[in-house]
Amino acid sequence: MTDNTMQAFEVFVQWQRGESHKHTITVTASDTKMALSLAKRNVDVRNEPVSIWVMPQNAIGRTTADDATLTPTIDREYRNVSWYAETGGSP
Amino acid sequence: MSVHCGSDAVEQLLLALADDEFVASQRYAEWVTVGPTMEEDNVLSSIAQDEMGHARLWYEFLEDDQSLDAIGYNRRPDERRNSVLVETEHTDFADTIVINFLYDTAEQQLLETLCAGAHEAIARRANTILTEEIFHREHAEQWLARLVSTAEGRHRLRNAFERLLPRSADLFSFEPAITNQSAELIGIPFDELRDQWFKTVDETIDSLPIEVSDGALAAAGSPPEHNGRTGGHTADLTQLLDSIHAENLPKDHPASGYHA
Repeated sequence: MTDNTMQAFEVFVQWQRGESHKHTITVTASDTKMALSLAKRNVDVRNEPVSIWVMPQNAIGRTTADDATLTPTIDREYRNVSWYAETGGSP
Repeated sequence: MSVHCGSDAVEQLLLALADDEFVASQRYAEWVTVGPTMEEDNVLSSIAQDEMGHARLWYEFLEDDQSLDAIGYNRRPDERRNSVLVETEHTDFADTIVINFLYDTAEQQLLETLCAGAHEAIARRANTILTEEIFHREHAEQWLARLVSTAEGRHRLRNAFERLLPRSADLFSFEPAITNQSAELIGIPFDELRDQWFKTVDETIDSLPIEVSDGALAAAGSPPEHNGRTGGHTADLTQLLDSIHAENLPKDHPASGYHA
């Protein structure tokens, strides 16, 4: 159940039905169940969240802040939708 | 808002339940800024706020002659009817969890019987409170299961049960004016509710890897040494009330009547 050590859990809250879960806070807990319990009273319950997910911070894969593969280096502005004229809804 | 609830026995029972909530709330609130973790600090504050809200729901039935503040804050220790369990000073986080478990188990049983009762306005409020109580019991259960994960935790949890079980003996020891009306109030005798509570407590302790003495368990099911339900409180309640009432409050402050 728990090995008596604490770790960080990231808390994702669905604030509206149909919306995606949004990262909201981090809680420190011994395990997933406890993290969920703590999250229940550490997010703003007055805004009536729909559902809560927690996951251990160390289970999340992440890029570094300066990851060069995230941004293309040559100009691709021609691909942006903003270059097309608005049609006003008709094809 | 003032709500009417009929007989004196009903009012006396609601006063006892409200005083439980009010006093329990004050003790939880003492954890603010000194909780074991920041997150748990927030949880205990949140539970304290819940309990204060619940106290308000019951005090509203009794506010004919006095304001809510006067009922909650200005009554002297001997006028209060809370169980001595909830007035007990929390000297360790394990105390908090054991009180949370013993008290909220009893409260759930009392509220469920009130829900089934004939009085509609009371049943509706009991139901509202029960919904928030689900989290309070979850909180106690989660922590009980985790405090036993080290030798120190087991030792401290055991000490808390040894200290607090005898102080839970008055949870169902209401005044005769209330117990005589148990059929109308809750449908079953209070002794039967106490037996149900004791069974749950006994089974839960049995499921934990700690050795609680037979003496402490027996004390929980015996006539109470101090009975808060008849106004027989411990020094802890005086200490608690003194700590929330400065003597030099302005005369028009809602809580200034305590020292008057």
